[in-house]
Amino acid sequence: MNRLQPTGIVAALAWFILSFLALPAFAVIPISFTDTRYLSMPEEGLSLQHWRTFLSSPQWLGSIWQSLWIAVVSTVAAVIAGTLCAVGCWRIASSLSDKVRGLMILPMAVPTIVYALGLYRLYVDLDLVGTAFGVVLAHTVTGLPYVVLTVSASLSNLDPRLEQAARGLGASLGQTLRYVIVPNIVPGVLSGAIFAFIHSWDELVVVIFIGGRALFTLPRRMWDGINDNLDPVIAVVATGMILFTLLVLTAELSLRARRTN
Amino acid sequence: MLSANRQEASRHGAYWLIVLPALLMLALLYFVPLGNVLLTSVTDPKPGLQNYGLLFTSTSVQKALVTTVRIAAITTFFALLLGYVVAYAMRAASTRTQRFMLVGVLLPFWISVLVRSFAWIALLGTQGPLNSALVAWGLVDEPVALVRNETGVLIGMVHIMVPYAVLTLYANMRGIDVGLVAAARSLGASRFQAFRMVFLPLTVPGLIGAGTLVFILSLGFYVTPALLGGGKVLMIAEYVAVQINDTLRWGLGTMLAATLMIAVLGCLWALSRVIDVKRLFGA
Amino acid sequence: MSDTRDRRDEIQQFVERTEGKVYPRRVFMGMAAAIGLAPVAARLTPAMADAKELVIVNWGGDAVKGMQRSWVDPYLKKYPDRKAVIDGTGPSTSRIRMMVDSKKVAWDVMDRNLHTALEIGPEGMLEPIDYSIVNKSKVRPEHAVEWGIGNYIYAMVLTYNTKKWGGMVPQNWADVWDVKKFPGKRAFRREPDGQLEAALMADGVPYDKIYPIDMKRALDGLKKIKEHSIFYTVIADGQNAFRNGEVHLGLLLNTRAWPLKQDTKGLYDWTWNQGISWGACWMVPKGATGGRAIWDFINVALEPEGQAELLKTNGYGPINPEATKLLDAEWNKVNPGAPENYAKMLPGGIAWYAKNATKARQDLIDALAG
Repeated sequence: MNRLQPTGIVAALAWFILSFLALPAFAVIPISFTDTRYLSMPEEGLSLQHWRTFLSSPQWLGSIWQSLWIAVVSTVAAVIAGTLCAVGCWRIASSLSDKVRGLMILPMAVPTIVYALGLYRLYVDLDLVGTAFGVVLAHTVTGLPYVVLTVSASLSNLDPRLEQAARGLGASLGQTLRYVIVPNIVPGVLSGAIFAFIHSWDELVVVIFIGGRALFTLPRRMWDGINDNLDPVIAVVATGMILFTLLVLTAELSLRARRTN
Repeated sequence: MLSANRQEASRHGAYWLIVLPALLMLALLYFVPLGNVLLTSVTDPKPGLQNYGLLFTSTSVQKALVTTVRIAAITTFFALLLGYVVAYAMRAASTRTQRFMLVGVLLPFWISVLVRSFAWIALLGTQGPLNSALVAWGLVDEPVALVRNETGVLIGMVHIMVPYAVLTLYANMRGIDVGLVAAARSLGASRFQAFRMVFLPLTVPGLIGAGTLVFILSLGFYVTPALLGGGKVLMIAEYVAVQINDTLRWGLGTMLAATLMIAVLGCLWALSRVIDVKRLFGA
Repeated sequence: MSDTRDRRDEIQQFVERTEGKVYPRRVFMGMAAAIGLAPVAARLTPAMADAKELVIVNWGGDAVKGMQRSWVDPYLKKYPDRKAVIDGTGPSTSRIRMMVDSKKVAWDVMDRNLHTALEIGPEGMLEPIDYSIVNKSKVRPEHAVEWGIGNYIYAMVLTYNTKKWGGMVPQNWADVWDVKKFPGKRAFRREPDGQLEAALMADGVPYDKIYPIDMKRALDGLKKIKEHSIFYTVIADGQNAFRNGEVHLGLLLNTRAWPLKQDTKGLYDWTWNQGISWGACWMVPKGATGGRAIWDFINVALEPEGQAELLKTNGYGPINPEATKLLDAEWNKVNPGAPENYAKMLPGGIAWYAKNATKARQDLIDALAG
């Protein structure tokens, strides 16, 4: 027996909370089909005009791709560096390594705008203003805390003797990491990856300051001209992402079902 | 004995090596540029500590700090509570159900914080569907103000933070041997007793990790309070942004940033005194 | 030789594919130098190509298209050998200071407002306007100052629901403050300029006694109405609050009140009476490299034709009074710069804000919070 037995009430509560999480989606999806030129529920009928605008706009699509690859690259970098760091600190477990870990999560506590000012000064010297590379670096560094924190939480349930045993049996550090430690902390690494990805995907302030005039990631595209109009295209983008996620999930579930059959 | 020590040290040496990339990146690309700016807090408008003096003299600064801590604390409480229920249900569910729940947790991430705020205004505003329903069912006479005030800010922030809490807690719960709970049950403990005496204590590190994450993130909220607070809820991140974006008072803005940083470091340190650090971060 | 050409093509393609932005220029140049192609690379990277381009910075969105059509295109027509581009990323005070401090100024001319120009100009953030080239006679005297010259007029106007109170509509700020006569939610901007003036007018202060602003009196007025109001930080959000029926009266920019009236088919309207008019302006960051082209561009932008055009596309009021003559009566109804509308409004006190904006903003925010 390796499962908890939840009471029906807990499961019902959980689904209730999940539906609270889904609420904005129920507003965003109809808004994306609005027949008005501003962000609102459809008034007289449904319209695909904003989907058309979105799908035929090189600016919007370009921003999506740019945000996507910036987020992917910076997430991969942050996950690798952050996981290694968390594992190292976990294993060393000295007061110094604890301080290092505390330091790693500080970037979450500093208002981004202040960091962005400093980064701009640095990037002017390095000639990195307006480069996607510069944004990737910034998002990697500011994504690290998420990974360190979640991986550390995951490691808290791992018995350090596992690692000692592996090393004692002659496994190299790489082997120990690959076969012993990482498989046991996958949920933490994945959570960290998701947080780091979303952090980059939704990040606006750093891009405003160091993006120069040409670099328009998705959040910056959304803020562009925000004072003119609340463009329903921002609801289209969100809806598109939701549909895409559901599609991937359905595909995966049906694949699984076929495999088990 | 000596050689054993040296062996131990060299083994740690390898582990320091894998800590290094992250540490170097953080130092060079975060703390160096940040430190550069934080110097402004003691040089602008003139050298000295007068910006820090405002912490003790300016009611405006104090009010923003108190509001921020209060809202962040309430948000953390609710996010942990709701997040725990979901994470627990996920831990207990079948693999298939787990996946559906996971998607439910992840979906809101795709709706940017900006769009979510407008969605809440559309849903919960005085003319929104919820208020229309409440009035139509005769539950209230007048539409209830659920957005454009502190309630709205809290709804918006809890909504954003619950997924963070769920994922962090779930990562922790996955590592728990539920056989222990079963053992407690077979020894005659009631469901609730087994949960309280066995499962809950094992999730304390997860709760602390999730709480730290959610609280620190909540301190930095900016867009949500600005849009859902009706202009009346001023949190510190927006306060800092106003100083830097709209005025030349960078000394005040950077002072507040430095203060936040020091305060968080202090909290982590205090936390490590109360709770065994090794439990906070594993090991 | 052909080898070199191939490599050059490769670099060309690379630059096109990446818009020269993926790799930092220095890294790219280093790579190019390593394979012996430094001069080619130098010609290909956009940073070099941009060197002589006039960079006009505004707030993005519809303003990019509008200003391109009304101002940049005529400028390029007049000076065909020059280049100009609009950067819609927003010249916020923070970004101006950051750029000026860094001594690498990429911007030439920025779209802000006169009171900000007067506020940050003396702090060393701006170049003074060169009035030996810029023709200040095209604008009203209050719209040409040392650190900035007006480019269009915008106004903060009393906007209201036309059907909510049985045919009765608010005429002035005193009505807006009268929650018994006009029950319903109010909207204001969470900024001092405009709201302070409205509060004083509601309290019976005549136009000529508004400045210097009595902060206590103004904030007391706002505190009185606070419970019945929302204070928006994003302008489109304020407009949205009217449109979806959350608020029924309050203060809105004329550039937003006009589309609001159209979107709601007249459910909402506005009055110029007791409006507060402001000059948006051109200002030039300290150390801008555009030189003569900056002033030439400003002169073109002040021509009445483009000014009138921008009212039609974006609702920006012509700052050049001559433009009024190019507009018919219907257009002049929505034109804050038309003499009959302009005369009804209070010209915003730019000199007062230049000295007091920072403190006034802080005091207002504090009065509204909590």
